[in-house]
Amino acid sequence: MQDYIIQTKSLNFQYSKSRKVLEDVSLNIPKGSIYGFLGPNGAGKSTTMRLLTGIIPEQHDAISIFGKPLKDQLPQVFDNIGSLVESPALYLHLSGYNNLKYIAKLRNIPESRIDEVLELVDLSRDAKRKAKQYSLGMKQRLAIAMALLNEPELLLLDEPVNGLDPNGIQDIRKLLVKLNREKGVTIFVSSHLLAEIEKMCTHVGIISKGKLRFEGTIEELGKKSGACKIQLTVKDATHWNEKLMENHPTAELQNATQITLELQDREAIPEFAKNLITQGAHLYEIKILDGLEEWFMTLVNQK
Amino acid sequence: MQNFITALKAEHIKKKGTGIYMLSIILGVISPIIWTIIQFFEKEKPGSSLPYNYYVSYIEGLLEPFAGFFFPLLIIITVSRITQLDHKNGGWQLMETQPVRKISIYFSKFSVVLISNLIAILSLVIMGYFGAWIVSLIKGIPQDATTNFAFSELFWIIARLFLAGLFLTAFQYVISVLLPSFIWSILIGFFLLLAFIFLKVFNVTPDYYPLELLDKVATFKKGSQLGYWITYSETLSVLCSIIALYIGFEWYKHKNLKLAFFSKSSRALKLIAVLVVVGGLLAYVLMPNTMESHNKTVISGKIEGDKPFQAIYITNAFADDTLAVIPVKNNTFHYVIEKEVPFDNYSININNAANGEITFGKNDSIHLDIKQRENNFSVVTTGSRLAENQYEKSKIPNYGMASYYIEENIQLDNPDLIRSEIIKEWKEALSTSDKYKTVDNYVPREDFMERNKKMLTITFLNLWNDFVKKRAVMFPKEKTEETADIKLMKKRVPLNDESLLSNEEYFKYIRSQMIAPNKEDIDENTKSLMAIAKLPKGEFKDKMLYWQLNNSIKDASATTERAQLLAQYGTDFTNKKYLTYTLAKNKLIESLGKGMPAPFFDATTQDGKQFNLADFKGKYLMIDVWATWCGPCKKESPLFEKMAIKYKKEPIQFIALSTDQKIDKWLVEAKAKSKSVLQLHINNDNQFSKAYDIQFIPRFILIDPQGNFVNSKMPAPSDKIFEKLLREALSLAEEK
Repeated sequence: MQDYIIQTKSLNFQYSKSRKVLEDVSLNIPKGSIYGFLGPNGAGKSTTMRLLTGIIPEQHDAISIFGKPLKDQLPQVFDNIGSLVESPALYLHLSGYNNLKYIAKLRNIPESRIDEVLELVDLSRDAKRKAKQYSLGMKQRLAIAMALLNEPELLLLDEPVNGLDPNGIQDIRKLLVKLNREKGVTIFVSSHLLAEIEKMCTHVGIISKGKLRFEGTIEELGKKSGACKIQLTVKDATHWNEKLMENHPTAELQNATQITLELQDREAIPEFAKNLITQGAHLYEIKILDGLEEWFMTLVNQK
Repeated sequence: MQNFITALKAEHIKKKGTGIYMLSIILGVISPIIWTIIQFFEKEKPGSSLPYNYYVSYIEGLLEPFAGFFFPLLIIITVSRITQLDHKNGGWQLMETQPVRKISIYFSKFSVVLISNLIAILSLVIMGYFGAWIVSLIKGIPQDATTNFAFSELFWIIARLFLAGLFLTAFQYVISVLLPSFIWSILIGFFLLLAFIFLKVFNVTPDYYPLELLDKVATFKKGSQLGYWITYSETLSVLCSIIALYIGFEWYKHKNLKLAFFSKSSRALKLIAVLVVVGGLLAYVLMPNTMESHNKTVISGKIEGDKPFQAIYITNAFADDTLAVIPVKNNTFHYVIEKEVPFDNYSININNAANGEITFGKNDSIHLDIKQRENNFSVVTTGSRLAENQYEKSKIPNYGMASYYIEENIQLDNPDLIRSEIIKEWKEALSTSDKYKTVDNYVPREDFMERNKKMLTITFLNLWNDFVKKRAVMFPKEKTEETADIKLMKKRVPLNDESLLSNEEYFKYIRSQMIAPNKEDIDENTKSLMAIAKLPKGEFKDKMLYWQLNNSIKDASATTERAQLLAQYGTDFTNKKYLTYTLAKNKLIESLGKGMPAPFFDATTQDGKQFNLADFKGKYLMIDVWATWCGPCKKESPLFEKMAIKYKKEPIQFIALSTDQKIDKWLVEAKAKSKSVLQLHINNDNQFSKAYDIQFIPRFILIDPQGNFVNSKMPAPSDKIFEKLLREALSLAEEK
């Protein structure tokens, strides 16, 4: 049997009698995974996150972490958990270093560790500056550093890349993957961006309107989505569209330079491209259009 | 515990750069600094009082602004800031996702506020000490002050402030943790401050009101009178904060009230248990206490001072009747009064002077703690009439609007206004007396309360009678109607309560009631004597007659008139002791009359020369009786000197006769006086005071060249009549 680090068994939560925020959500987060928790805004992601961290008390005993019920382990369980819930909780009047020092004190971690995590999130140079002078990305990185300070076994991150520029997103993604690979940290990360999840997660759970719609590995997710839709940018698109229609009935002209069509899967792309070029097409770009995206949208829109 | 200390240390990292402790220091030192600056502009008060600790009393002077304003202000601000640190930055969630128990989170933050409170209190005391020292460098230490380091007094001031501040701190903290917006906690805090002013005005402040608890420390600077470490209000503060913190913490822990107390029966039971236990203690502490009476009438205590004491006399203030002579041995006394003691006010006489009052009666055990220094006595009364005696001491004379209107003849044409004012003030006075309690939550016993309410009612009835009388003169045609409320007041006061007659107000009231029907055109004294003569014989009549006859004698202008009064009414006394007292009083008044020989006295100059009355024969003699400790005397003495210089060439000798107990003090001050006034110190103060009926000083006496009185009770030199009488005596023409 697989070793699950977090399990919820039919997690329910409601603020009032009439309004169920979570309904029958059963999550299984395997040890060593990067688990992407996906859903649109208001789906219940943050509520789930808050329940998992005990910030809001559970109404039934449905959550177990490290194989034991959560509520029996509060707050010692956080010795092994690093978390970042919603907007980064930082003390803006303190320097980055002192923010970390505060957490270090609370957790009885030697101060030497502070420099390590600062290095890790690339904030060493800005450690002495006050957090209120930080950019959004720096704040987010500092908050992650605070979550990493105790070398946790499990990281709970709520929208860690929210509001970051592409560079920042990439940095954080790299950092998380590195942590997972090198230290074996299990990471539970929530996001409303499918593309984000797809790029780094090993497992995915999709939630919408309080219900879990899908849970499985990223490969299983890939299969669900079926064919691979691509977009071509070519010179004289109209001409090529007609030509392609013969073998690819899904081909569709988008505008004067772009065509979309569906292939069997990603593996078919190199062969397809080679063919096209040998036929003399001036190909500028081939871009995978996410089939997942559309599938995701329909999933999310289910009642 | 480890968890808590870790959290507390972490809290101190978090508050870096916020200046929270700095603010405590600033608000702590602000009142001593202002106070010290004021000291440089303050005039020196006349010295000579009982010994006190200079530094402690300086710091006690700071308690009012600090406990009443700066300390609550600090608490409100600090609590808001410390909780906002986390509200603003999402810190509460951050802390809850750390391996720290919620109880540690909650109480570590609370502890920071407590530390801030303590810093403020310590800053106050240290700065107060420093300020006092600076003032002493420039103005010197007052003569009566001691300067030893009074550790225990200071410690208890600090402890009491800290404990009294607990409830406000806890209350604000609970609110500030639960409400994320800083506006609410600040608003509620300031509302508490403001509401306190109104509650005070209407005298409806509950004992557990957070600011009342602090105010009590400023009001009762010395703390418990019964020797407890802390007073009941500090105990209240602790109990109230326990309840507040318990509810606040559970609420915070479970995020909402329903979850915290009503979701599980165990939680509800716990709440009930806390409310029952702590609330029960609270109710117990809040319940006013009364002292039990004893099986004997006992007066005991100790007396300390700079001279030996043989005996303490307890006398009836009314007729100088000695109730008990209590021997003092080794500065302590314990005496059982076997006589029946009517419940009343009595005076304490030590060394031939009345030095205090006590209220007691049969089966009371009274403990007196008497301290003396020169002419100053302090008497602290405890024992079975603790609250009663304290109430009497704390009574403030009525300076209401009604008495002001009547005195100044304002609004006399508006009887409705004055009547309703009198009734309003009367009701207020009754309710104030009902609310009276000592610092240790003791209230007077029922018998005293009843009597006191009668006395209060009498005061207002006298006011009413004065008003009616004035109206009758000014608006003879109009009636001044007695409403139901006035009738109610009258109903409360019996017309034949002999036990109330030791009080002059009651005498005045009865007298006014008795003479009211008499419309003859004769003076009130005569009307009153006529009415009293008709009373049935007995103690009530005796006392009424005693009051009235003494008044009549005092007011009589000639010896013949006095003799006639005594002859006509003196025989009416059933109890002959009243006649004896009246005759003695008459004799004293006679002996001080114009043309009577001035009694002999002798006195000493600064260089030891002896003088007596006979030495001044052939010259007019103007005497100013004074003492260095007497403030009003010092005001008059420059004017007296001015007169002496002006009439230097006339056949008159000006004498300043000091009655100081401490001659060295007199020597210092007498040196600085004008040479045109002969500075003397009386040799036998007791004898002199009795013979000359010196009841208060300054007193001015004019004696003619034959050694007879011209005027034994001259007005003071600040009064224009003084000079007029002087010129008259010297046969000088009136000055134009």
